[in-house]
Amino acid sequence: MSTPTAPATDAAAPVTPEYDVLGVEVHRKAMDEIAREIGITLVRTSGSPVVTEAKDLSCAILDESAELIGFSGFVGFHVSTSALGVEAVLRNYDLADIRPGDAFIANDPHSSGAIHQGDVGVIMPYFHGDELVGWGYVNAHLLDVGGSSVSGFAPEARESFAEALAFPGVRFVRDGKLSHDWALFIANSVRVPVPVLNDLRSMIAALNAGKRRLAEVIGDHGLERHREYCRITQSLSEQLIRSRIAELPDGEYAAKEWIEYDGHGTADLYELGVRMTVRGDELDVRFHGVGQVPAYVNGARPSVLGNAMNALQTVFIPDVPVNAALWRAIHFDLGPKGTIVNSVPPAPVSQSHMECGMRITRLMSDVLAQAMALSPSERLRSRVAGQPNNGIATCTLTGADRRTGQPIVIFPIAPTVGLGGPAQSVSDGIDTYSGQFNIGTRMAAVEVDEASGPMVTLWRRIEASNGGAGQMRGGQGMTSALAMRGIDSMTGTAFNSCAEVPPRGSGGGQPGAGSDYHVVRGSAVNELLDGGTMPTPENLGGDAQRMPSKTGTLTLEENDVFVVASGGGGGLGDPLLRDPAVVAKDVADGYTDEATAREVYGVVLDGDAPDAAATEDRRREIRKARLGAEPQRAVRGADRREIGVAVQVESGRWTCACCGEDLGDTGENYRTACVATSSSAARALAARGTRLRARSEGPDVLLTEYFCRGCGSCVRADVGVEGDDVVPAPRLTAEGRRLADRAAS
Amino acid sequence: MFAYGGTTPLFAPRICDALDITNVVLPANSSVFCAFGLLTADFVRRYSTSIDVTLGAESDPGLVNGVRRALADQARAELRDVGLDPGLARLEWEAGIRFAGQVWEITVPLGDEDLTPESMRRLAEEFPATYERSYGEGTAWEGSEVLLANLTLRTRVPRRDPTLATPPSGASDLESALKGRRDALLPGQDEPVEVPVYDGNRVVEGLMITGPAIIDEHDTTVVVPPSWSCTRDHMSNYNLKKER
Repeated sequence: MSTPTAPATDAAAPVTPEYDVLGVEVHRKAMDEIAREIGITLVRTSGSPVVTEAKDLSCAILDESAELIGFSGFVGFHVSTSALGVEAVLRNYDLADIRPGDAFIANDPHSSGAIHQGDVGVIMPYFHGDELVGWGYVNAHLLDVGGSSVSGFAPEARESFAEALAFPGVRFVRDGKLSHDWALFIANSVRVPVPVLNDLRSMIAALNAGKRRLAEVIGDHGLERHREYCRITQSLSEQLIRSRIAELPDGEYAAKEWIEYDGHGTADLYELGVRMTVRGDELDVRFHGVGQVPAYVNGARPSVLGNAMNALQTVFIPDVPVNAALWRAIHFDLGPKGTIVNSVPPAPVSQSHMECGMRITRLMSDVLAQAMALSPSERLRSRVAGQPNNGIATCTLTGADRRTGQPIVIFPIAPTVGLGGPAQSVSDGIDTYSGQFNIGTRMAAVEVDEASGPMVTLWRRIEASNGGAGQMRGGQGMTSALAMRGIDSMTGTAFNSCAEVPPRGSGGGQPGAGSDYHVVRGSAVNELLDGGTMPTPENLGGDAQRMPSKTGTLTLEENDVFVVASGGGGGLGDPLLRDPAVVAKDVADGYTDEATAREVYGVVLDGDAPDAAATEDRRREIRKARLGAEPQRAVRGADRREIGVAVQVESGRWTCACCGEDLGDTGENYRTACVATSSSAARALAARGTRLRARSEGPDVLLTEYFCRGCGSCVRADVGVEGDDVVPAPRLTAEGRRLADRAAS
Repeated sequence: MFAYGGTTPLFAPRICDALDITNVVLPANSSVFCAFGLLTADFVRRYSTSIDVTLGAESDPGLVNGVRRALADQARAELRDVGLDPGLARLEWEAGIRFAGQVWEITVPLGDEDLTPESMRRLAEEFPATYERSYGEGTAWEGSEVLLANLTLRTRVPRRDPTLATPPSGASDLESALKGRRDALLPGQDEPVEVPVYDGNRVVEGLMITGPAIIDEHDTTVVVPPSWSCTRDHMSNYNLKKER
């Protein structure tokens, strides 16, 4: 194939690559499409709404040495699991003993690369003639994996051995057929054997589709060229990642988070943190945390790496083709074994992805926002965003269907998709956005949820003031209500990973709401439905019962309603900078109320429209109240500010981007030059109509706001725990300061 | 390459250059080619209904056969309503079958005849093999009933003898077709060059135009780049060919 090149217009024109540009790109797309076809085939053959509707699955193609060559991330944090799963198989078996028609099952976070035990990986070797040339990988959340609680979530387990079946990457398919021995064992160990075994058969079907397609591509290209193209694609991804890292100022960026756990009778907060070092075109990411705990929140390697990489991919390198090169310029260090970010057996890990992992995602989005705000690349600065919520709250239930007497399992996944998204420089956060880790998933239709089990959805509604306030507002979460129909009672688990430590805003944006749930006991739901009346929060009746954020003993009887509110995304930029007309529209739309508009956004309404003069006065009053004195500097015009960039480096000094006020030497923390106020986060947010569960014992969660001493703009709203140190500012090297200086000019 | 639409005739040869394709066909009425296809296609109407009947030895064909007869009666009546003769229509039946618990079906053709307990049992028995032809050995579900989830009826009335375009008649020489000359900046060149412009209404069958040239059609513009040539065929298509 000839590849005409454009005539060179000047000496700096890019050198024509020595490889077939079109051929490599077509081949790369083929690898991703093969992974995607594995997913589509799974959706077409599976019976689980978690797969068919929510698309809680992921697929990958790897080469023979477990290097990723194609990926389709319906759930993005699975980017780590496929290689770790294949490596487990290679550890467990002699290559000579692996042959066509084999498949392996892997779901143990400690040994075989799983995010948590409920997300089961199936791994199939792919051959070209007699030669092993790669691996197919598919991962899906199964309805049940045995153990102490339904669907693989074990909020009260104290050891991983009590949580669920733990497949270490074991052969369960030979000659294309699910082994009779394993089928007997699995059927006897899970709550719903028929759907679980059939979903495993569907995963084999999905990998068969990948096998057929890969054979076609290798047949077309020949094995040698296939391998060469994989190498070239990986090297292109690596180049792109390195050039992107080089746009971040050299230095160290740090952040902390806290995992919430109240499943054993106390309300604990477990600290973890990250230090991200930028060195030229390399990124070192070091995590640390308290010792591992006897609760399902511990991080294991797959979820810590997967969540961290997924945050980088969604925020920093969304355009980079996904393959093994992701891990070449970005290095992770999980620190010593036995901590909450690097746990070992018997640490329970069945919520590894949504507890420790979710906090890891947020840590990464925090340090990336810090670094990108100082980048000379306008494109990177424009990608500074609030934190995504990412904390899921829902339940899993089991019982016997009254009509059939058959055991059933219900896993309402819609509430996990109902989370608000982070505020972005180009728009408010997306409502009911889901988590940043599963942007390929979607909300199951109510009808499908209701057809798959004896449960009805009474409502799904957007909750006002749920997204974090800011110049750009965080996306709003969804409140939904579930009631049983056609079943006497169900038991199971309820879990909420983010009730008390909310997602933060960036650049002076405010935290979004936490998630929460409660059970309404003895409601009028069946009476209303039988009488043809739509149940609403107003007519439902009954008594609301508060429950811990992690419980393994949820029981729902007839007329009980499970109400779950999904949290919102973090805001971006000081709310006082928000366009008053947009605030007025939010009030008109019921997205926030008039009091919040006045108190948080400083917008005074005259009817439906903002009163310009009164708004200006109100905003000046708020700035004065923040500083305790009249601000000495005016806020620059919108054309001289960037959304979400609150603090810049000018001539080696921290500078307020809103007014140009000097905020100290970059060797110091700009926070010390600011006026600060600190208060209970739950109380502060409640005053703004934003939900956050108040702590019942132990140290409180604090919201600390830092205001520029010149203009009174909020440059940073930190979320921390009582008694903790001040959050450090970025520590730039001399080279990093030079780069950051260029950003401001 | 078969290139149609309003603007593809402008760019098709350029794309072909990049892909090593040496022949392009531009159909008459290029910019409305899809609409032309719609107007000349067979008249097809599709009826679907969910049915949810378990297939097997105990199955009662009564419900399914009743639904099929009602659908066929409705389809014939609606053909008459639009002035078509139901006698000319072909009726094509398909069954959507899946394992109970799945969401997606596999489509299986059905004959015209009524289902019987025997044929329903056979559909259930044969389904795992049909399924494994798509998804591979060992993938058929076990312990789940086979469900006839939905039925589809397609009525097809063939459209006969659509009117096709014919090329214009007239003198077969370039001079008669020439409309004028325009300065054009051809792709990859820095300076405009003067290019002959031909009137599509006067480009007759067999006339060869060599690039660079432009043909003004009433609904599009054809660009013949340097080292390409263009002739019109008996159905009024332009055939572009790259000169070796």
